[in-house]
Amino acid sequence: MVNSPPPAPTLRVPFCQPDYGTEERTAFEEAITGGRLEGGGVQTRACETLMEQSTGAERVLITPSCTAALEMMALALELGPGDEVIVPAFTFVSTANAFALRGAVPVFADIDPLTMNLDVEAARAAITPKTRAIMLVHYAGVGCEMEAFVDLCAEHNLVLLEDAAQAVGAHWNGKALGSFGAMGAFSFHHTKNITCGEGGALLVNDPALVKPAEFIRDKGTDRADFLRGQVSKYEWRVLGSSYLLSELAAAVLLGQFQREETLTKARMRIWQTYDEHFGPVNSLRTPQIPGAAHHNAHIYHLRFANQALRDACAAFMRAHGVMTAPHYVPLHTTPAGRKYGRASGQLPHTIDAAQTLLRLPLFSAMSDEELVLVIDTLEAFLHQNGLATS
Amino acid sequence: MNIDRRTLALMLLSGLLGLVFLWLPLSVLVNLNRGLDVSDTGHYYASLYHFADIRMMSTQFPLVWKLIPHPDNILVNRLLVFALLMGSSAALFLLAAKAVLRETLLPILKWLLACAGAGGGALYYYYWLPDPSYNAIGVILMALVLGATFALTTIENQHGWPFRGAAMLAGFAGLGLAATRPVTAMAMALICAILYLMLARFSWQKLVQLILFVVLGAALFFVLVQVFIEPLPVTLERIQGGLQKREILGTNQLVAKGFTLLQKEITIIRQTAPWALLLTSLGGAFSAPGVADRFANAPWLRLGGAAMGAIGLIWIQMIFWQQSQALVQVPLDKLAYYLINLGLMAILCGVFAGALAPNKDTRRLYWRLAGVSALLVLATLSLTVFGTGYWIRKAGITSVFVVLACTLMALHMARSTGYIWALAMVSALILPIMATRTTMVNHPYRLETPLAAQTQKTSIRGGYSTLRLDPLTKAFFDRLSDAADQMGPMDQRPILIDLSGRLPMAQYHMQARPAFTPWILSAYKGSDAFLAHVMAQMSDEELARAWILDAPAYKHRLDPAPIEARGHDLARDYRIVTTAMAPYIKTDIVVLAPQPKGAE
Repeated sequence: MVNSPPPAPTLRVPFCQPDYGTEERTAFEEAITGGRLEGGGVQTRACETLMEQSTGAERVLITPSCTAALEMMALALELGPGDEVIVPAFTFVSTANAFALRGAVPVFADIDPLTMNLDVEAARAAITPKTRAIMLVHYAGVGCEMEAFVDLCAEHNLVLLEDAAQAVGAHWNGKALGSFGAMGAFSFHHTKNITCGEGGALLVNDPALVKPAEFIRDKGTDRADFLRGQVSKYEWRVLGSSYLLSELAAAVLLGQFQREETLTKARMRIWQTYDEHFGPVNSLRTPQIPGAAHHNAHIYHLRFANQALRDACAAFMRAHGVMTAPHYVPLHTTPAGRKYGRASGQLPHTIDAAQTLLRLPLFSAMSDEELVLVIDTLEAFLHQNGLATS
Repeated sequence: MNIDRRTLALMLLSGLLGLVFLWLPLSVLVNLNRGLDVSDTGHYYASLYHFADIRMMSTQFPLVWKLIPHPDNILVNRLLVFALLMGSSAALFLLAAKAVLRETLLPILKWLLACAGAGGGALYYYYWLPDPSYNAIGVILMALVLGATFALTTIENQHGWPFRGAAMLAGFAGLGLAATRPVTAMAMALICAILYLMLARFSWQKLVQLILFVVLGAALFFVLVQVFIEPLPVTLERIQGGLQKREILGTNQLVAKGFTLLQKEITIIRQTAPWALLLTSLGGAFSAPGVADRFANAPWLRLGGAAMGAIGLIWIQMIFWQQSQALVQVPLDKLAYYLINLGLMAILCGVFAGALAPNKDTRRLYWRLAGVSALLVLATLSLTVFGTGYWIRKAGITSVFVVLACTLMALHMARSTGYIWALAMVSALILPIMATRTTMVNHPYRLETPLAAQTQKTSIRGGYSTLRLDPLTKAFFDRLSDAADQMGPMDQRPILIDLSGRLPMAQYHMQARPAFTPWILSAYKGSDAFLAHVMAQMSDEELARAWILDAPAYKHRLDPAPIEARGHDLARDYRIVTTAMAPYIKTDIVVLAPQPKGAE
């Protein structure tokens, strides 16, 4: 008799789940009815207008992904071999990959252990004569120390860039994240607060970069000028690619934007409920929100004393049908990270975050029953391991 | 006054019913600051506030509106229009009922009629936002003319001031209507003449008095306009320019489409419905209270009549539903057809029932009811055929209130025998009213998003008005505001030429001057020719200073050839002041300003 493996526990609470409503369906229907599904159409322009309105950006370009938006940044700045860009080591691969693709070197710097954002002093220490830009990542939709980074970039004549992939709707001192630097990139991937499956946006805040960015998105041509009646025919102007999102996806995105307030409110309720329960637990490190930050409840994360506890918790939760997730593998430790980039120092906080951080399920459509299940299961784990002291 | 419990309950129910009818106007009132139509409404406001600059208008509604002191605030204007719509409509309902029933109305019936009338007026919101347009002003004036006519039919003493006052009001509002909607005014004059002959006790002396004071009322309007607004030659010049504009532009395809549908509908009624109508009418006649009194020994006659009526009704519903399904695709239009037909059926039933009535008084009553119903349906159609392809839907919805008015009168007539049943019929109308309100909130006319999504506070025309609009439209207006700031001092603002041909509100919002016409309409056969005509009126200096709103990717964009022919190249000689997504036309627009002299 062959022993069969034990059955996988039933998944009762997924880690994330998009929330699509009537608005998305209506916009989708309109896009189909309109008949023009190529990028840059009505739905795309509507999304761009709403983002321009909410962020105050000079120009917003909707892209097929945040990765594409980051690549456009590198192209617009004409980065290449011999250039360096400082990035946090605790981030998604696209942040560094975009620059490595152009031949520039991503320099990995350490993070602030409280916010998991790039540390100002670590960034300062990573600056060399080759440094062209600093790329900030607003982890969990919580803003970096913006005034300090603006000053640092001004002091060293560097371009400030923002990877605001997780930061849609988030602010720092009342100003939208993504709108501080010369350019900002947003993600509308499946896991994000606002999603259309795959999608992104490039915020162009520096007026001088608007035209280059438009050229790059349209295969390197001045087609946007042509559509505005500024040139009689369009032609190849710079290096570019096809960075346009399909109108079908843009339609879904538009619906999501129309419901942004509702979606964020629902996430915030869950985030706050988690924080009420786990914020006071001494054995856990929970999100710390600086006074100037207005976050968007993108992630609620816990940090355990060590990796073993974190992994045990994840396994316990999974066994009870609750999906949780750690986060990034430090980029400077990855094969490509070592090949195309370099680390600035030892980066202990990055290593620690990667080993101890666990994200809890958080999505706007989460029911009260699901929320209670997550909390009860986690509390059970904490009790079992003698961690539930506050 | 002895009131038994049953009467008290009925009064209470009727009072509550009145409140339900008021629900519609009240919900309109709380939403009055939401939404702004960028096309037609822009045309109206540009016409009002740049009246002196405009020389091409066939309809002179600003002459009427300018007699009422009004501020430069969209919300206040809306409140004024809405109050006048509701007031005139409620008065019309009351006066019509009094003219038909010829007796003192019970207070509760007056309340119900006034509420239903106000509700009818409020329906205009569904048809259009209550801005001072030629449509809104036209409807108010029509209600006044019609109301005055109803009043005239009930006043016996032609030498008293009530008669003279009503006649003067008819004349005053009639000339206003002629300035606002000339063709409608002619139709309304005909309707009122028929109405007067049908309902009034005719005498030549009375007719002479009537004509005299109607002319006096019209003369008063004329004098007021001459003194306070402008001299006649200027108006005539403007009308001449407007007629020329219409000639150049050609036919509006939407209206033509609407008439084709009406024609089809009448054909189908003629071919399929007469027998069903006859059956229903016969049934209605045999089961009428008067018949029952006359043939007290033959209860089968009443029962048989009721059965016939019921079969006929079901038959008619089936025919009408099928025909509306076949004619139009939009669900709401199907409902509209159905309701119009219901109104027509009420008229025909009234005629047949009157013909079969057992005594003279009952016959007169039925025929009056049929006559008034016919006139109200005619009026409804007249007021809804206002140059829009949406008229069928609106006519149908408004017909709800036509039917309601008829039902209320029937209720009054039948109160001795079937008050509760009549009240139940009225109660059934709550459903369409609620449906109308819901539709209105979700699909406001000419707005891209439901009222619930019109939430963003938006400053219009440099802060004269603050409205709540949807985020995309707000972004559009904000961009235009930024551009307007660069236009220079208010009294020296240039002309704005709108090549999209769909956004006259941009010109009003930016406080730019219009190019002799409040709106250079695109998508008409002669649109490009009309632009050339407008350009021909413009001096070289005016054209050199003019700003341009262009929508290069818009399918109905006006051809800028007449501008280029005067030596102005859009790509070379202008700079982009701003770009914006215009949600109404679903494309990007660019606002262009002339390059400063000497610029490359």
